[in-house]
Formats: sequence, structure tokens, C-alpha cells
Amino acid sequence: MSSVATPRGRDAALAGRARWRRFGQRALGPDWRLAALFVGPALVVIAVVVVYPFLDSIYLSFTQRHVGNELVFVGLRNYTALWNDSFFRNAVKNSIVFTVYSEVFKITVGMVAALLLHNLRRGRSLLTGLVLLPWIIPTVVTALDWRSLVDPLFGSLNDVLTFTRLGPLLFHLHFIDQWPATWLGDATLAMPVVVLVNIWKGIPFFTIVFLAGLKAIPQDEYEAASVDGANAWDRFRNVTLPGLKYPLIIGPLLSTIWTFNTFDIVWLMTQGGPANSTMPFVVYAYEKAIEELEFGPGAAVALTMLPITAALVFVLARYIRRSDQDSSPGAFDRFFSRWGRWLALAGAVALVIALLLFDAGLLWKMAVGLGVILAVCVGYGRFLHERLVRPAGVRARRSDLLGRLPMYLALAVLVFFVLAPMYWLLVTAFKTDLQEELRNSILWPRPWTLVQFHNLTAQNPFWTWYRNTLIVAAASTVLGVGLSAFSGYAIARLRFRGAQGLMGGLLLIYIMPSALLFIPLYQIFSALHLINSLWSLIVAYPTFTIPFASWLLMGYFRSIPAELEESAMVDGASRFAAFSRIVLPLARPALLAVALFTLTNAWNEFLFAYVFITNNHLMTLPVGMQSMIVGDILPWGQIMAASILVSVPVVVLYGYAQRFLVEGLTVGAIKG
Amino acid sequence: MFTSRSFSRRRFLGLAGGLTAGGVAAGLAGCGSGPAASTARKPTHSASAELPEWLREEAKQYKGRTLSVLGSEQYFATANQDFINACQHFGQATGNTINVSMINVDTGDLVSKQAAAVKAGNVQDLGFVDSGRFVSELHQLGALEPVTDVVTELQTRYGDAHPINKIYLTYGPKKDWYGIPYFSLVNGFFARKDWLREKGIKTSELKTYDDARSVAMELSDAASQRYGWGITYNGSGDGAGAVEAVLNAYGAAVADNTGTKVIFGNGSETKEAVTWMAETYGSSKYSKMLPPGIASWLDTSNNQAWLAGLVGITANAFSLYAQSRAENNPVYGNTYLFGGLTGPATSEVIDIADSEAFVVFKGAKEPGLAKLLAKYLVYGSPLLTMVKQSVGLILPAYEEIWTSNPFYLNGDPAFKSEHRVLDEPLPIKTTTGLSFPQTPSPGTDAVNSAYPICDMVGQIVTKKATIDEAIATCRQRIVQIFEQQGYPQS
Repeated sequence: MSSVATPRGRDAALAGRARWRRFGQRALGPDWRLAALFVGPALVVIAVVVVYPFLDSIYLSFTQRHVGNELVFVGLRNYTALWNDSFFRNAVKNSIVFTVYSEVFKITVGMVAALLLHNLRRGRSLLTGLVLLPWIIPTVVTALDWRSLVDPLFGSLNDVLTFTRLGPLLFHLHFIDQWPATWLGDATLAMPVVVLVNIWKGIPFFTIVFLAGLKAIPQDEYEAASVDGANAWDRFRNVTLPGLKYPLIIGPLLSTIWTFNTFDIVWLMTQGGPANSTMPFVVYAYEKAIEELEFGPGAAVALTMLPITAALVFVLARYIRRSDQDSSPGAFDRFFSRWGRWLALAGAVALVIALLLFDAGLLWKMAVGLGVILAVCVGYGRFLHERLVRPAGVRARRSDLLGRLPMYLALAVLVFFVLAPMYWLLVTAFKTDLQEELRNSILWPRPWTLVQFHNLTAQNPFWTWYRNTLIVAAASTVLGVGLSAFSGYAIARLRFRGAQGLMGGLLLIYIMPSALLFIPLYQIFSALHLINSLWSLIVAYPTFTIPFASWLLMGYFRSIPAELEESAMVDGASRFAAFSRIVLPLARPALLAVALFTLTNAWNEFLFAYVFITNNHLMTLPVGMQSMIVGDILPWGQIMAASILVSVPVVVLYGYAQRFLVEGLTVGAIKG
Repeated sequence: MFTSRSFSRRRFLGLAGGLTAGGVAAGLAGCGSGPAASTARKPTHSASAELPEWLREEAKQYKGRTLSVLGSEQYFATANQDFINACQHFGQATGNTINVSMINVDTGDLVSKQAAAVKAGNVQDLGFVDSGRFVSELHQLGALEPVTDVVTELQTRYGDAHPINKIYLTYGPKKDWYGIPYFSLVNGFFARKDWLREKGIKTSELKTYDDARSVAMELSDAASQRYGWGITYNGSGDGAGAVEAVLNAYGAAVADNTGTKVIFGNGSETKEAVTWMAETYGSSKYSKMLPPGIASWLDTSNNQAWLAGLVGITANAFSLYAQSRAENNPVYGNTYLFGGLTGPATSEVIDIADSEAFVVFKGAKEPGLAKLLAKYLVYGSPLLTMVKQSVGLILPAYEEIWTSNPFYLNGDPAFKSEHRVLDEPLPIKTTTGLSFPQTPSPGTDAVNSAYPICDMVGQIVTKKATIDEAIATCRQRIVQIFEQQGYPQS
């Protein structure tokens, strides 16, 4: 202390500090301190919620529990045991089947939906809002609605398919082995049904991403192509598809990672049954670790599959980085640009062969389904594209109205597919229990009654769940958007060592299925006294949206000219002031897009809320609704009434704000 | 420049954001599990009046404390609410705060979560769980405190607990109690009296599994949507119970009488039992008696089908019976109740009694108050209210409570026979040398949570494996589970 008290000592101390600052700047980059401030909070949250539990899982995977609670190090035994585990092989197969079929259909139908909606002159907002419905309603609602719908005794699907003769037709065409079908009770049909539900829920993501992509394609490129004599197909191939290159890579990669790690929809619909026919590796790992208390083997199951998600995340990170104009291509980029196409082709062939070996019957059925969709599109593709991607300023002729009929028909089919399960939800909510049990007038309540809504609110603390969900969704959205904005800005603007790799680092969050993180997380939150507290959810939820949100915001921030901030800083504003007063207001569409994304995630989340909250009066809506199922008695009417009340505010919000979602995605994720 | 349209949208969103932020600020204050958090419905009558004098005396040493309680959701919603209300009554009468959380135990994560909470030093004080499913695992994980003192006192006051409790809740050389018997449960078999009458079938014909299957075939008529057999083998508590019951009836089991050695697949009896189930669920001969969707892994409609009058014979907890009575369902009056079915290995029905027990978690901050609450809940109006609400599902755990109020024996025609079942001497021996109920075993508990025996039947029914292959795979899984619980099998 005395050495710095004198002027000389003070000078020496200042010089020493300056030396350290220079050293820090040389070693870590000129903006490293500000970067630490901006990125630090997100990294701390991620470290607590993901990194520590992840490392704990790795440790657990090398152990077994031998006597009571004692963990014994067993080396690679848990991993080697998986070689002879037929259930593990089956789970890996199911994960691949579930992911591949889901993604192929989601991308295809999402693309068709985006094309249909893109050039719709009237009612686009409304229809886009309707198409988004499956995405924004909670997964619990989705799963319970579909379970009820496909129930062979009390659902309506079999009645509708019998009435329209489609069911018997599918039977005669060997798509199903018996009619009436038992759907989730049939080991050969359960997987297609779960895939179908996943497709239903996933189409909106692709629709919105492709819509944003289509919006970013300059109209003059179409006009130039038309002048050069390109027909509709040529324009689709040479203008639309290249214009959608970025969303066509990022969207499927992100979605594939999420789908591969899917837990809730399978868990809520089939729990992997019947006879393990829908058991993906995540549910298998969960069963082993949590239900059988085989923590080590369960963690080993999840970690064995990690290379697949890691590879996808790696490609995603590299692609995101490659799109960064500031970075020069490295050896990997050169290799990828040279061989990427061949690798993708080889991968696709390998996948098809694998799917053929897994279940040839399912492959041909899926191929026929996809073929029908593509044939319809290509069949009037020329027509479709002529109308859908019309050069700006060309007005519709009267004959066009008739000519657009097929497009409207296609839209009608799409909207029917989206809304039919919602209709079932609606009518079930307005029936009495007795009417449901007696199965009178299945598709139309007779009489309409509000008794389910009354019972729902009288017998359950429904409005308390509602309040909890609002608090959690709002708070985690504020936190998520804040952390992502700081991280995205730091990556986009600040110069510090590791900025390039940081985005990839954030994406690593997606490697580990969240279902496997929750036991270590439960211990952490328990020690922090956050169990049975909404804080556990407020802290956990933003973590899983930070990578996507940071990436989107990073792109948007880059689209804002840096000169604006530099001018402000020349005028004396600090970096933080420039960020908060200039950049953030300009990035409002992207912030709103991120807010909607985070809000939806928090509104719908099931697993963590289910694990961390047991107090009935602290539950969020998805868990509260699940708690209404008492043992094996399902109050369908009340569940459906709750579903309606849960969905309404999100639907209203999206109906109003979806334009900003598209706008934010367009600049942030597509152009940026 | 803003258009009026976009301006209004942004205004709206800004307003929404502002409201949200305001809501957050207001709401965050209530994020924790505050004392009022679990108050579901205000108790409406004097709570202190219900507290026995001796309990009130004991409670004097506890004032202003906070007790956290974890309850297992029962299959009857109002009974759950009654439990919460009773806890609140106790809190009010003793001047303490009781926070109650209810948990669905069928999801299989209860033990993992509680073990993690004990490890983190932040566990609830008191819980009540299924004696046969969870206590041995929790005990083996070191998550429970002994409660012999409380059980001894309660048995002195209310008579002996039913025999099943001693088997499931005592551990160690001294047979210390690790659970306080709370209430009894009986699994029920239900048949449609009116259908049996129509076909001229006497109820006494329902003795063995073979008998019941033949009767179910006779009752079935797909054209009039009558399905004789509603007992599922799916991956649920019901399904696992049904498969295990058939195995036991044939003299087979997952483990030996000590609960430490896997014997599944050892003798011919396992194959005989599995073959019986393969025929029942997999052969076209019996397909007409199975309701569509019976193999769905989540129990969407098996019970609903009974309530809708589509099923002839089924097995379930008494929640189904209670539900049919509560909603004046015509099925209630036509229900023939019987204790269960037998097989080649025994002429007595195995494993139909169970119980729920209070457990005090290791590290509980208020163990004394927790025990006091348990003593309050096992008797008197807290119990009677639940019994009245959940006809046949929840029953007294101690012998003398049955005669403390006429409702316990006369409230429903089912009660007397349920009481008889609970009083029957245990264990029941099979011709293969096994005794049921078996010694509680963490290995068997973990097997019951993971449903490998249901998977086995599913593998055979879906033709993914032969009977021998499925049994071998199932045995391999069971062995692995036992070894992970600390019971080497080699």
C-alpha cells in the first residue's frame, strides 16, 4: 500500500496498469473488456444451466452406481455395453427415422406454404397467422389434441376417414394394415403418426423462414430472368432457390438438431411405445437415467449420439461464419466448398439406404406421400410459379382469378391440415363429458355448453397458472432478449479474440438434449433454493434461445451501418450509449422477432417446468394442464377448454406481430 | 416515416411490452414458493376443533414453523384437494405454515428427483408415496429417516396396520419402519354383471385367467361394440401390474423371495405365462375381445372405454369405480367386483393390496412437525373425507379405524370385501416356491418404473421377437437394472 501512496509509486502503478491493458489488448483484442461485459452475463447463465450439467453428464457416463448411492468409475464399460444393446440400436434407428422423415416433409411443405403465401395479395396476414398456429400452441396441447383425435374409440379421425372412404382406400392401397386403424396402438402406425404431428408442428417454422427468404430476393432478379426468356421453372431454379440458399441451409440444420433431440412430443404422445416402436434415443436415455436410475448408462446413451449433433452444429457454425463477409475462407471452407456438394449427395444416398434397411415399407409409403406433394407442385409448377413469383407491377387479369383456383385449392388443403386438429380441440371443449363418452354427434356439440370452461376454472387454479406463465414468459423474454442483444452486438461489432468462434460456442448449447441436463440442474437449482420457484424457469428458459437469438441479432446489427455509431462516438457518446440509443432502436424488428421467438418458447415449454415445479400454485400452463390428468382418467373437455384459453393470447399476438417476425428474420437471418 | 398502421402496431406492441414489464415487476415478487402458494381452497370450518387433545398438546412445541409436504397425486382429483385442505387445517390449528406440492408419480422421475433434492440439502420434510413402488428405492438411496417411533404409537392407538405395510415398510435386521402407513389401496377387477347375466354366465366362473379369457370371448361382439377384455399390457402402471399379475399367477417373478436375485426366465413358468399373454394379445383367435387401441402406450381410452360401457372385464385401481359412482354412470350399478384371477401356481389371488405411506426425508428441517402432521392425517375427519370422496380407492390403514365410523364398512357395497382382502394373512405361497408380496427390492422397484416386462409382451405381439428372444432380452435388461441398484447377478 505504501509504495503506491507516493507520486512515484502511483506513476509506477499506473504504468503497470497500462502495460497490463496493452498486453490484454494485444492478447485479447482492443475491445475485450467491453466484450467481457457484453457477453459475460450470457456466458455465466450458459455455464450454470448447460456447461456444468453437461460436464457432469460426461463424468457420470464413466460411472455406475453399485451399492446405494456410491458411484464407481467403470471406464468405457457403459459405452461398450451399448454395442450389444438391441434397444439402443432400435432407439438410434427411430431417432434417424423420426428426424429424416419429419425434416423432409417439413421443408417441402414449408416451402410450398411459403410460396403460396408470399404472393397472396389479400388475407396474407390472416392466413400466415393461421399457418403459424401449430407452432405457437404449447406442445402439451398439440400432443393431447392429437392423442384424442386419433383415438380409435373416442377420436374422430377414423369416423372422418371412414365417411370420406379415405380410410378404406388407404387400406386397399396397403398404406395401413387394418381398417379401422388403431394408430398409436399399432406398432407400424405409431411412428408415422408421431412424425405427422411433428411435421404439423414444424411446418410454420420453415414457412416463416422461407417467407423471410422470399422477401429478401430482389424482384428485379425475376424481371431480368423473365427478360432473358426464363420460364417459371427456370426462375424457380435459378433465382428463387439460390436466393433461399441461406435459409435452406440454416433452417434445416437448426431444425434437424432440434428434432434429433426432441423429447416432449414423443414423451407426451407415446412414451416410446408401443413396444419401443417410437422410442428415440433421447427418451431411451431418459428412461435409463431417470426411471431405471442408471445415470451412467443413460448419460452414455446421450453422449454416444453427441457426434451426430456435434457434426450438425459444426457445419452450422462454419456456415454461419462463412457467411461472415469479414472472415476469409479457411482450409475447411475451401474443402467444404469443393467437396460439400458431393458429401451431401453421399450422405443423402447413405440415408436412403439406411432408411431402406430400417423399414422398407415405411420408406415407400413416405416416398409416395412426398411424391404426391411434389407431383402436384411440379404438375402445375409452371403455372404456380408464374403466379406466385410474379414480377412486381404486373396486375392480375380477370382470367387469372380462375387460373389461380388451383393455388387457392392448395391453400385450402394446407389450411385444412393445419386447422382440422384445432377444430377437434374446439368442439371437444364445448361438449359435456357424457356426450364425449356416448360419442353422439362427434363433430358437432349437441348442445353447445360452457360447462367445461366452468369446471376448468372452478376445479383448478387455472388463472394462477395463467399468471405464472405470463410472468415467466415475460421475464424470460426480457432476460433472453437482453442477453442475446448484448452477445449479438459484441460478436457483430466488437474486436476481441474469440469473437469468430463465440457464435459456434453458443451453438454448442444445442448439442446436449435438455432431457439429460435436468438431474444435475435439479441439484444446482435445489442447492440455490430455486426449486418450486418461477425463478428456476426464468433463468433456464433464455439459455436455449440465446444461440438462435444472438445469431439473428448479430446479422441484423451488421446490416446497420457502423458509421452511425462511429459518428455518435465522435460526438462524445460512449459505446454503450451508441448501442442503446442508436443501434437498439434501429434493430426493433429483429428485437421483436427474437422476443416473439423467446416468448413462444417460454409459453410452450414443458419439460423444465414439469421437473422444477411441483407446487400446484406455481405451475405454468403446460404443466398445470398436464396435472389435470389424474392417473389414467383424462378430463378431455377441460383439457381442450384450457387449450383454447392458452392459445388465444398467443394467436392474437402473432396475428398482430408476425410481420415483424418476418421482417426481423429477413434482415437478421437471411440478409445479415 | 411511420404509417398509421405500423404506428398503431408498434404502439400496441410497445404497450404490450410495457404491460408485460409491469406484470413482470408485479409478478416477480410472487415467484417463490411463499406460504400462501399452496393454499388452494380456504378451510371452511374450525380446524382446531378437529385436532385431538393429545395432538394439540404435542403441537404446542411447534409454532410459526414452515413445513413442506410432497403428496402423490391420487387417481381422484377431489381426494387430492382434500389432502391439501387437511394440511391447511392442521397448519391453521397449530399456528404453522404448511406448503403442499402434489406430484404425479407415474412419470418415473420421483426417486431421481427426491434423491437429488436430498443430496442438495433442500428436500421437503414429509412426503407420502406408494409403499410398494418407492419406499425401498428411497431407503436404499439413503433418502429416508426411520419412523419406528411414530408407527409404534399409531399402532397402539389405532390397532395394527394391515399386513402389507410391514412387508413393504420395514428394513434392516431390526425391522425398523421407514414409512408411516397412511391409507390402504386395493386393486380391483371389474366385470359387467348385466352382460354376464345376458349370456347366462355365473360370476363364480371368473376364477382363473383362462376362465376370464373364455368369458371375455363370449361377451365380445364387435358389431355392437362390446369388447370382453379391457386389461392392457401397455407401458403404464396398469399394464405393468397386469403383466406382473399373470407372471405371478404362473409362479414366475422378476426376482426371488429376497428381492436381490433375478429369476426371471429361469423356469418354464415364465415361458408359460408369457405364452399365455402372447396368445391373448397377439393371436387372431382373441382379437375380437380386445378394444381398438388397447396397446396404445399411454392409457388414452382403456378406462374411458369401461366408463362408456364398451368393455366386459377390466382391472384397475378403484378410481374407476369411484368415478362411475360420482358421475352416476349406469356402469356403476352393473359392476361386479372381484378380487382378481388365479393361475396354475396358486389358488389364491396375489398382490391385490397396497398402501400409501408417509416418509420423512433425510435432511428434513422439521422432522418433528412432519411426524405430527402424519399422525393427524391417518385418522378422523381428514381421512374420512378422503374415503368418502374416493369411494373404494382410499381406505384406512389401521385395523381399528375401520370401526371408528360406520361409513368405512358400510359406505359402499365394495368396502366390506376390500376390508377382507386387506386383512388376509400374507404372504401367499406358490407351487414354485415363491412368496407374495415379495421382499421389497430397489431392483424390482426400478424394473416396475421402466416397464421392461411390458416391452417384452409388446415385442412378441408386434412380431419383433419370438417368445424366447423377448424373454432373453427382458431378462438381460432386468439383470442390468438390478446390477445398477447394487445387486451383482453373476
